[in-house]
Amino acid sequence: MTDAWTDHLSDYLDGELDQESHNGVVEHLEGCAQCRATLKGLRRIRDWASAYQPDAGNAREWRKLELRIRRRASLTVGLRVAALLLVGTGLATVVWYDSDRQGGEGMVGDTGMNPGAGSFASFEDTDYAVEIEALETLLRKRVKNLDPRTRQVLRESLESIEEMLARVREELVRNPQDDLLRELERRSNEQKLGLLRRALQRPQV
Amino acid sequence: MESQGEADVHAASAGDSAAFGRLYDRHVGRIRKVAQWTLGTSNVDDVVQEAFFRAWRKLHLFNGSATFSTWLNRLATNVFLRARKRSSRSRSSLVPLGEVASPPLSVVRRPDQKVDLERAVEDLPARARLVFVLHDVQGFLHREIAAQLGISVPASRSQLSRARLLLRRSFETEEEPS
Repeated sequence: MTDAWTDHLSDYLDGELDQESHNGVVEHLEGCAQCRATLKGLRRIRDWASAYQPDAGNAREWRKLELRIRRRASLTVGLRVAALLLVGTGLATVVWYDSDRQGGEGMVGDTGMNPGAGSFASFEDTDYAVEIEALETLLRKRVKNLDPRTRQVLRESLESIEEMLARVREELVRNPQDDLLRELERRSNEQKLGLLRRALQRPQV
Repeated sequence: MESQGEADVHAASAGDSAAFGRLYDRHVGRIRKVAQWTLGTSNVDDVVQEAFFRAWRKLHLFNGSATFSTWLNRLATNVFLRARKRSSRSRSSLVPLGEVASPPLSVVRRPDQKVDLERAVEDLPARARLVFVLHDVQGFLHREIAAQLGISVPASRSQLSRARLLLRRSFETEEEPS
């Protein structure tokens, strides 16, 4: 047995070798008991891993999770009211400290997005997740360069949106066909995207 | 006829938390171990809870094209890989495997083959362990692993080979031909 052959055995086991290398390994295995034993060991490891089933968890952890699930569920009624307000009246605004818009001082603005006309209307849940994660990664690198008040308002605004999203998704588990909730989820995602984008466009200090 | 697992998935999708609890019991052991191996720490209560909470919230997206186990494992792995990226920015928050005697590791360890292999996985070099867990335990393809970890496909295959050969040494005595 040599390292050169050993290095091929794992790929051979998975059928990852090209035909020439595959044939070479087959030929070598016929005359090498040590490599056959190694291959048998590798197969055993792979089979163990694919069928791996450890002992169960503990009840304490489930109780914590169950509490979290039920806490979310108890917010359902309030969420319904919030959804009606948000979508029905178009008051889906996010508090946003925008010193440029306010001449250098002051509060309040919206996300700068038009929720109904954005280019993200066809985004699927996973698309939003990918886009948002990319922006969040960028923002984490740059956030320290924003002024402290902007950072604070940004953090609070994102928390508000995330809280709303979590409630909406919780409710969607129970009512997956509810158009109103779907619309609210989409708009909340758009708000979050808009907020992250605008934060990244902020002047760095 | 619908199996108990499938019935629980349907019931949980409709908001039955007791059914989700049964799914949790059935899968949490494996998910927890994968979290420990992926993150390289025994301290995974929060991230495991996050994975299951996320599963609960996203159950309406599960369409049955894969098994529930596959869907859950992939969702959880994504949660763990994101946590791993975050923790790599604050490495001090990680507690290396073996330094924390928290359950279930300290509880389930017994001198049997299954636990010896679990231990051997923990002792693998970090990158080899991660590739082994993603490929052999979780069923990801090399191209998926390469994309997730920012490495090449040959590098992923090489790390897998390294991991398997190291693990195989755990059985060297009984495996070697006489």
